[in-house]
Amino acid sequence: MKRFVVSEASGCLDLSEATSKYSLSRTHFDMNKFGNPLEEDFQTVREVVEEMIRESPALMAARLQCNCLSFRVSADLYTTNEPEARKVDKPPEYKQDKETRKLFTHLRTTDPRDDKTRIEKSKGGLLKDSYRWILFHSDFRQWRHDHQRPLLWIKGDPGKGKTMLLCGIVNKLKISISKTDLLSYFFCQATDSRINSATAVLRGLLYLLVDQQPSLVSHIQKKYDHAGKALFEDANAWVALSEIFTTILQDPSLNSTYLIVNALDECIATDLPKLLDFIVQMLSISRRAKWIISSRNWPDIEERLERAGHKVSLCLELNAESISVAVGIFIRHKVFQLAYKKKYNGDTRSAVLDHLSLNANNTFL
Amino acid sequence: MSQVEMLDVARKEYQDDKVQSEVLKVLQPGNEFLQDVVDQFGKTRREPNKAVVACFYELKPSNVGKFVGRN
Repeated sequence: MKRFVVSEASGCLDLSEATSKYSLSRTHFDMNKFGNPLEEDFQTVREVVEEMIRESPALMAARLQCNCLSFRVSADLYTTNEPEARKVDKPPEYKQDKETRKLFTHLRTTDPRDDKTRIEKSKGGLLKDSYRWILFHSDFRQWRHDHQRPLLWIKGDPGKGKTMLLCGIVNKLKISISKTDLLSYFFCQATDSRINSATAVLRGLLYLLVDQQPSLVSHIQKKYDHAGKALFEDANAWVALSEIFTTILQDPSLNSTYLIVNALDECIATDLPKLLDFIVQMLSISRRAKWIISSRNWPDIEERLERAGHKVSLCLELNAESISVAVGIFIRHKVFQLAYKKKYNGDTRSAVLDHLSLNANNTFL
Repeated sequence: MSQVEMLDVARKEYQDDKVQSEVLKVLQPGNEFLQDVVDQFGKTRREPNKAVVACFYELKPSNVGKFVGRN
């Protein structure tokens, strides 16, 4: 066999979290050869470079400010011997014994991955580019990169495309976060009693977390050994699950975690306040976990989230204005794609662009 | 085929006008120059306000056999 891949571990000099890593489905020889500007991989690279450019003025300013200090610090650093960047901690292999498998079965009320697929399909499949605009949105970017802002609340009236947007965000995060990062999500649905309660949300989130980092199961195991299946179902399930969730988020071995909960307003009314309070509380105990939640624009949701303080949360409203900007970007993108395929000249391209922009009426359809 | 073998074969199979065998020597394991480059890089990563670095890595295998070790 003479086929060879330079893996993530040997292709990336800095394996720490300080460097973001992106996979390209390419070979060693065409890593930097793109056929046209609309290729998915090229778009990924472009977004990353654009982000760097955007961030650079702030970085330069910060450097200028603490120039003297950094000189001293880096002088200290040069005396240390080996670079820590290349140390890789391999997680211990976890063998799922019979008991653990049983725990998994009992913890699971639903597999949120399946719910997401089902919802995507029922809404006519995810139009690949209809959510791309969020990646360029300053709130989303800030949420991704600013550790002081671990919560992004996406709010909007029904039919504004929150659910599809969150599906898109999940898909995008899946490919852009590092391999060890955890991504857990939950899609609430009022009409489905399995997935409309606060405990269901925590069970779903826990299920995906533990599935990705099995060592976390130890936090559930002890309580489960005493109570069995009832742990997740009896009258005290919420208390038990929220305690478990808290200890997991506080676990120093927890990898960077992204938690996404869609359609909080579809959670049963008696559960919603405690779920919101819980999320707000989690923001203060762990900065390793970042949250995105979506819901209708309800004042009581806003009020509860405000208790976290304005400084920690970002709020993005899907309204006529933001949608029209998004639709505009989307149409532009599509027309350029079309122009490229059909080799339109500049005039045809702007004619198509004008026509579509006038008739789009602020919807993606 | 290991990386070391690949290097050896490349140096054997190709003339100096095709590969820079002097430069390839740097890639031998334990090469001091290479180690120094990696160390220096590691240090820059621990400085405050360090430059932003993004890493792109490949997922698809390359057919190295097409270039080295055909014989």
